[in-house]
Amino acid sequence: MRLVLEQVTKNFGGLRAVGGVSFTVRDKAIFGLIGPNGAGKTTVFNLITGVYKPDAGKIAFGDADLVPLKPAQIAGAGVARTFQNIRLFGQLSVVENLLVACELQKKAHLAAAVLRLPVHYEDEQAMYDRALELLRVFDLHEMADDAPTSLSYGNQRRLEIARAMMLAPSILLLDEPAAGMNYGEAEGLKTQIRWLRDTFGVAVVLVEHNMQVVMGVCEEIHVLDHGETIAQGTPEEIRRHPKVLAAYLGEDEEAPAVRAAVEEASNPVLPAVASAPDLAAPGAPPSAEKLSEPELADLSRELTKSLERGLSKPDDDADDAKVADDAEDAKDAGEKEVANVQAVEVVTEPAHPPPAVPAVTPSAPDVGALDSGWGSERDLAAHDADANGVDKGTNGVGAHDDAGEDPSKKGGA
Amino acid sequence: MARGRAGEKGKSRLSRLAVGVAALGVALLFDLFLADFVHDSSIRQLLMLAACNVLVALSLNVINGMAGQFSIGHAGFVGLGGYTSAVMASNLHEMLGGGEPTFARSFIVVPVCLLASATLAGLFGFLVGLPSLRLRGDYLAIVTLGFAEIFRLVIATAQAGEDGSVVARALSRLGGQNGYMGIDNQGIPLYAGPFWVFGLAFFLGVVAWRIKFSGWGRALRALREDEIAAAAVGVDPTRYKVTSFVIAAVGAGIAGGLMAIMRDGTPIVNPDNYNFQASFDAITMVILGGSGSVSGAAIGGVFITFSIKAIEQVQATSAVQALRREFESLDLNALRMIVYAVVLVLLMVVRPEGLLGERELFQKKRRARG
Repeated sequence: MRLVLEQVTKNFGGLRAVGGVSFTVRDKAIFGLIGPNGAGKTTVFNLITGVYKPDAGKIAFGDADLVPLKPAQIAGAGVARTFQNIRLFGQLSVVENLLVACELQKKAHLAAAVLRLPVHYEDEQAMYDRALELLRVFDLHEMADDAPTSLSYGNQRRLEIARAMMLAPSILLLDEPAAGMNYGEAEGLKTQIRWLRDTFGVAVVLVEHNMQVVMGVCEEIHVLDHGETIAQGTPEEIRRHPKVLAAYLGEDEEAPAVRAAVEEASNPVLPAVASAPDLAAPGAPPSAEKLSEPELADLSRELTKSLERGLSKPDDDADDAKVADDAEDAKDAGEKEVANVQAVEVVTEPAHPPPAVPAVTPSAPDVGALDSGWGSERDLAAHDADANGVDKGTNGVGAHDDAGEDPSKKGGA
Repeated sequence: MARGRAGEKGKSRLSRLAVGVAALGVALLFDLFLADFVHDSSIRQLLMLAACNVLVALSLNVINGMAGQFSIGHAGFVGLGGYTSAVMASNLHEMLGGGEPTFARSFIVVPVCLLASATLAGLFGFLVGLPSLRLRGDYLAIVTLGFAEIFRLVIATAQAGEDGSVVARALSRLGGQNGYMGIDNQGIPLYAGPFWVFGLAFFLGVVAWRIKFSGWGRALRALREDEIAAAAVGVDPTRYKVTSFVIAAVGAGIAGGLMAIMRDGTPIVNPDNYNFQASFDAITMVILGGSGSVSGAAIGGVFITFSIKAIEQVQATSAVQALRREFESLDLNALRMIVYAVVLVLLMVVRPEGLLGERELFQKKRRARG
């Protein structure tokens, strides 16, 4: 099912929060919604989920017109969301937070619950099992009976996503899921988002400031500024779009000069791939990085070492070995199966092309792999390794940029 | 909650049935023999009043505790139930031929009266619940208080007389400020014996417990925590809030209906019984026991009932009476308020969440891990 926004407008008093925004999120797409602070991204989410009603325009999901529906009905139509400022039910336990999301799917209603009919027990048991299963997927099952307030920040964000997934949605709206995450956690989030899409078949719409995540995971990006669309396209297109650069970097009388300078600094060599934008398979095909074989071997060895240094927990040994193996494989073949080890991606995979995700993403990471996906020590090690990779001089772009993307720019030259 | 119940389901159903039958039997024994071992009718009245107040607290707990909506007009629903039940009982009694209220006949009168009370109170609960969609906190409190006061004042100020509209005439038969005294001031037939009072207190206590520990109660608590997030996971605030209002009003209607036709009492269904003080008592019961806790509400109901009685006893002591002779302007009702205030202040300081918080007595231990 596709989510279609057509000329959606919302005013708050005299302020036009969202003005004539139109976009389409395809089935099972990973869609980014970005823009500077106050651009109206969260308002768009609130309009989609019925928290606000649009003043004009159409919002449709599949065959359903979402505009007249109430938030709970929109949730029932398969649109789940998380919140920028985490909104968990503090007085309910972790597992109860998930169970609340089952209200719509329940067969047993109040009377059945009060009479304690068999359907009530069947319902509760089925819901509880499903909730625990999801908690296990998000590695929160150990804390099922804890208060959500006792969870770490990252865990609370994951719990919110788990709660949204409890609705069995067709589309998942994530509002700044990477806020407050460190580099490793954000890398993990990328894996997780792809994994959610591939496993549950949900489309994901992402409002995010963290460009590392947005550029790394989104197949299509829609840019808002002051409530209006300024650009739409693949990450590659958005990255170079003059209006986007202006919106993010500011524009004044010196703008062209500044922009040129900035562009040069951040993207030393721009590949000329924009000429053929193709949404179905967007992005440039990964071109080989010009590192010699010995250089690659060096990098890989270094990476393996740093990973081993970083992993101190004995129970991570198995993973550790796997990582090392993967690194070896990657070095030899430069193949893409190693996407769940970000460090390796960075060094040996010339371009990690986000649009080509289905092929790249591990089909169904086991719990252990997921565990690593969320800011475990391995991620930190990966972070170190990233830094190494950058130091070894691809093109000296700051570590804050998505390192996975950088080599391609060089490679295009 | 349905954790790990699969194996013991059959057994627990049987045992639940046994508990239900046992409770029914005990209530029946109470009805037949309570007068034999509790000779003082005022004590009997107190015990039954406690049970009724437990019902008031349980119902208010649904809206104030579980749903987190602050209603301070609960006495309005109680009064609505009381008047409805009293009028129904009087008329039914007349139709059945008058005489002494018998236990056998109570099986016709009490259910009909309480059903009428519950329906009418529930209807008004729905009407008052509707604005609760837009209002929260203080504003909602004002609406509920407004409802209760309007109800009380309409009845209190209805003038006797046969002129005016149908509604005015009907209202004037309710006795105005003096309270309803039955048809032709014969008094209200008192059908609800201990069987009904204690039986219903037990039965509705179980219902309240099950409401809390159902998906519905969980959704209500989620709504209380965060309305927007609850709506985003499919819990419709409108539906759940209004339903909780109706449930609370129905419970209050039943409690009021029981109180109005309670045996052993001197039940004058009087508008003064349903003033703000009564609403405040109900809130005290819920907060004292622990907002959101079913057993807490029951404890609060019993405690407040007995403390009111105890304070009355204190007021009757010679020392207080002597004090009163000394200071003529001394208001003995103020004594109750002082004790209340002290208890509440102490509670807020020592245990802000109430005696039990949101927990329950006899709550099953949480299973370790799923």
